[in-house]
Amino acid sequence: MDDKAGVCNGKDERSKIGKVTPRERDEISALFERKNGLTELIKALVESGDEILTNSYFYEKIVADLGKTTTLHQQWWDRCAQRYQWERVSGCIWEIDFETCNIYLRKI
Amino acid sequence: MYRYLLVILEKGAVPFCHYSNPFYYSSAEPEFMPLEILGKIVEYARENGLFLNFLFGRHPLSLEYESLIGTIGHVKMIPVVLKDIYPDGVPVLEADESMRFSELEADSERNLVLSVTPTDLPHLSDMVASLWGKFKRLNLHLVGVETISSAQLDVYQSELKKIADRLAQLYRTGREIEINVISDRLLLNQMNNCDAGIKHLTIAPDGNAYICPAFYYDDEADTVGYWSDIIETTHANHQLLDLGCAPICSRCDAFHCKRCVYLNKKTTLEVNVPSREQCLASHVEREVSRLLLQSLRTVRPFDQFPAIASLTYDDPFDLIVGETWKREEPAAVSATSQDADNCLQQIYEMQKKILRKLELD
Repeated sequence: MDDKAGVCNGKDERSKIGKVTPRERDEISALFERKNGLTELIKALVESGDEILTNSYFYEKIVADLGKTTTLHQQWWDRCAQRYQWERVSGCIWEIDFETCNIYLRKI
Repeated sequence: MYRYLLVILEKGAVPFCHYSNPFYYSSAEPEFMPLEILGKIVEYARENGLFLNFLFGRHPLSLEYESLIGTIGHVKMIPVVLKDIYPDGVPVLEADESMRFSELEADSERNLVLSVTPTDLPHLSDMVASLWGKFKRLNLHLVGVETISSAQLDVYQSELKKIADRLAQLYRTGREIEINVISDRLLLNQMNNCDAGIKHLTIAPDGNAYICPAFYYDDEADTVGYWSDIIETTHANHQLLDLGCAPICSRCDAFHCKRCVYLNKKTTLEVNVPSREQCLASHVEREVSRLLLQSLRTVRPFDQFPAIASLTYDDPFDLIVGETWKREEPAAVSATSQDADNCLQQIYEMQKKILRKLELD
């Protein structure tokens, strides 16, 4: 599974532009899963008409968690891009292959 | 004490063994080792008869650096992009650059390094096939071997067998080609491991020393000290790197195994204890070597090599577990005979009581 972030431009297909350590991969993988999980949870609750979202305590808790996870997720990309100086092209995104730890640049 | 030093010329140096270097892909300006530090290392190596291995990044060196390293015997580990600038270098290939393998000219005297990950294994024999005629020795490194699954091990074995079949054909025509994971074991009768921290030491661009480059790239704080402070002493717990302190490895005969102390530490938290995955992969390689040697029994000089025994295990840890059971066996036997003696004694006592009772009646 891949995770995507960043901004770039002009490449026709994905090209390998970097790599992260397995430890860094595990960090972004956990954040990616949490972000997806929370998004899916909200979707499922809305679709099922569950009243839990009308409960302000749970609503605030889910929104706060999603906000924090999204921030940490973006911070990871910013921190690693800064650390490893990945190529940045507008119109393209960075994506990570969780299996190989490789970072790719892909046109959107 | 050390035989050679690995000198990382820039932080983005090409990873050439069981580790990866995320800085290798960086588009930032290279951080070269200061010329002053490099000069002192070269001088020390010359005075003490040490050989140097220089690890290059994607950037060619300036003339000052080149003339300095040219004053001492050395090996250059280089990325493929530098192969034309440094034709005497050892190119390090990555599996995802396989489209560029065709750019390498034929050269039957060259050494090559090929890094693959477990996910690349289904294409391993094809990759090696595209390199036939371009090397004399190929060092294959399975990066991420510690995460290999049993299905991937099966693929590894079948791919190595395909490569070994081709090697056998070449050996029959008298060609001298080596592929570390297959041919090294044929010639060895004792352990021939990496011996990082014993035979060699790594010096990072800032002058700090590490057991090997993998320790540096994994955690820069994992240094054993500044190179000039520790090079003539032994670093803390260095004895644990020795084969004699490795209870599993010292019972093993996969003599070609790297016995990678970095992977040991990463997977088991002990430099002298390997993970099961490392042992399984080494035994897959050993088995392919065994079958290759068997198929070359009538070919010189392979008919002179000692046969490689067939094994009943694929992880030497099983040997140790087996011996533990055997050691417990005599105790179990004696306990059983003691139980029997007690039982006979009880029967005898019981009989005496019965006889006495009968007499009284």
